[in-house]
Amino acid sequence: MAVSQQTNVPRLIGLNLAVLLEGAAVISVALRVTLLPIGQFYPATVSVLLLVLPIVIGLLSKRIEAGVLLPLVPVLVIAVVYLALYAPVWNVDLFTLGVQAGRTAGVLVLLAVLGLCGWLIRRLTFGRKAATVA
Amino acid sequence: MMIAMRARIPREHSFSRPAVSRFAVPLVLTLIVVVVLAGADVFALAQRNPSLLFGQHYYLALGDSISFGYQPDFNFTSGFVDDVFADLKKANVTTLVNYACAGETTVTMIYGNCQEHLIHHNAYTGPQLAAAVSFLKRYAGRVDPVTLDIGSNDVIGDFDLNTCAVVTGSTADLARLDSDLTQTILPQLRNAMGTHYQTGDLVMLNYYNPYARACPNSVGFVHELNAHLASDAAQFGIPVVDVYGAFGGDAHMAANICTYTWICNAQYHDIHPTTAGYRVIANAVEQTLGYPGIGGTNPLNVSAGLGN
Repeated sequence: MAVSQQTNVPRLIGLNLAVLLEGAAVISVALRVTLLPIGQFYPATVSVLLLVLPIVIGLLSKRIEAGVLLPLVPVLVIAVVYLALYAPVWNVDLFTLGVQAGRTAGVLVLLAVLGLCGWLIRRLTFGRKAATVA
Repeated sequence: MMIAMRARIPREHSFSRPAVSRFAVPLVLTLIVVVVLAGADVFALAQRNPSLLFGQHYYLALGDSISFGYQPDFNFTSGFVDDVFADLKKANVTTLVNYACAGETTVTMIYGNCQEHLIHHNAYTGPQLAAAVSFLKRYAGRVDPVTLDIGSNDVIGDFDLNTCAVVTGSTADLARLDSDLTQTILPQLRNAMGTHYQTGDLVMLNYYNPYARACPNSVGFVHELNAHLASDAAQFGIPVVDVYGAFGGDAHMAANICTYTWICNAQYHDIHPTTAGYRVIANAVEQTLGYPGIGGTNPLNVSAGLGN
């Protein structure tokens, strides 16, 4: 058990770093903030990262739940923080809410599927013991 | 029996010490990630609030026929407000709201019943001031700039073009103009802008002299009107756009007035500006607002750096 946890720790740290990086990419894209001084390459880089990082998270996840749910954490957290601080829902009418919910759901589904793809790649590459369903 | 039941309980479902410790590390790490992400989001959102960044930014134009963009040939879309807005669009001001009403005085602005109240660029009911205050409160922080051009219709009847003389009653009309501006219109506009009000967000315009050629001695009358407007605006720290100076001032007003207004036009003989005159007013407004030519400079502080 102790040996297993020791080998897990670097993976878990890498996993969480990937989630944090994805969070930075989400902030960057959602608020159009430049976080690195790489000039004209920045928009393309951050867009690619936003697609690649959920796959990396899936790749680093042993359990399918983690592979699917962890890529969603950055978007969920920024959505919750924004709604809590700046946008009370009752300022949005029912039909607008539906449109906004649809857009949010689209992003969440995309990230979840990318994470799942990463996890499936892990399972195909390293076998069932490295990527468990339960 | 008891022993057998215990034996059937799967190990992973019991809360034994190893199971807790197995989940402890991922759980703690995940909590740390969520807290770090939430902190970063709070900071980033405070710096760049998307509701202000990506929402509508309004230019609100208030006043009389000059703000309305009136021309006697029924071209109502080439006014100075239209010119200023065309330039502001380069600075991410997305929407023009023009509540100006041709024939508006300070009295009708407060109480309603403007002469041409059926012809507005943007629809509203009731007095123009009430509509403006309501709009400013509703879109607080998203309206910048606000231009106000009012006062000429309060006193225009006090100058007799036939005799080129000021008639009696102009002093009382100027006093009422001062009172309406300083006690009602300007305080209400400033209060409606609330904490978002900054010097320069709201500007007033003074007036050119359409009678500069026909009645050279009218200069004193226009100077007095402009002096009252300047004094009223100064009480609230509101900058005044020097339209009088832009039209040539004392020295060149008479020479420019035929180009900048319809007053010399044989068909219309109208005091309102031409399209060229409105462009001159727009340039003066932009100069006072502090972003002549705009050039990508956003007057709305919140959008600095947008679209990198």
